[in-house]
Amino acid sequence: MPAEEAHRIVCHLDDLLAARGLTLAALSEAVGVSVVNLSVLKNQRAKAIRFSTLTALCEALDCTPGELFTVAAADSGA
Amino acid sequence: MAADRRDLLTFDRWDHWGLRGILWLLSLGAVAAGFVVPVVQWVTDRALITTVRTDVSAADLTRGATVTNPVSVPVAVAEPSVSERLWAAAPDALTALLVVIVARLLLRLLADLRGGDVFLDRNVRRLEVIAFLIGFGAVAVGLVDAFATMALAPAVNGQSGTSTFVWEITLYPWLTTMFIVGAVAQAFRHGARLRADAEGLV
Repeated sequence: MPAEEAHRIVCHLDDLLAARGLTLAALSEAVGVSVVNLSVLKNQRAKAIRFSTLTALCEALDCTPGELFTVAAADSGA
Repeated sequence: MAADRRDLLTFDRWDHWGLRGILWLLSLGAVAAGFVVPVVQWVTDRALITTVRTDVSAADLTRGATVTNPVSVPVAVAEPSVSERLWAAAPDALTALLVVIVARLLLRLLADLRGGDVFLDRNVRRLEVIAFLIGFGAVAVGLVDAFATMALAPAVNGQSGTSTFVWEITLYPWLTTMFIVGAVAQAFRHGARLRADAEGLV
């Protein structure tokens, strides 16, 4: 079993929620995704997202996927 | 009718407890045969009951028939030495040890199956260890058995008797089982990977 694959996707759900004055519970109700799963997304613990979830989030938050997710810069290393 | 057949093929709690019972009985039987019986025979100083290869002719063969190859016969060796007792007990003791380890691993896997979460890395490792023990354990038991037969031959045949290396274990069923369990372990590896993927899916 390979080690968990690393990724550099950063989710900005907490920033978008704060900007729109929404709570996780209210967003959960709006998009039909559990608070637990939204919390996983917000805390950068998600490994994948369904297109249906992404569509619902973008609609509820009135944003684009590019505003919700960005790719962090790679470490320059040694 | 189809639903009945489906119910019959479902691994339900009766199958679970039945299999647990069988594994426990198998373990206890193996320990009794491999360890308890030889120790009791030793402690009570009974004759050593074992099977050896011998070329001693059978007395009741008729029409001039003779034994052309050494044959396996059950014998009772009076006043066996310590090394003869140890050699006689070694194959069954090794088999018992392997049976107990495999049964214990299967019981732990069953516990995970009962809990509904079986596709785990630890179960992949358990199945790989079981596959290894089945395949290489069969070879090891065969080798120990052959050496034990060699060591015990003088006790029956005298110093001039047959003391050849005789391989009597049929390997292909064990090797086939090893590969089947290995394939199941590989399926579990994929299952564990899928489970890990699904865990972080939102």
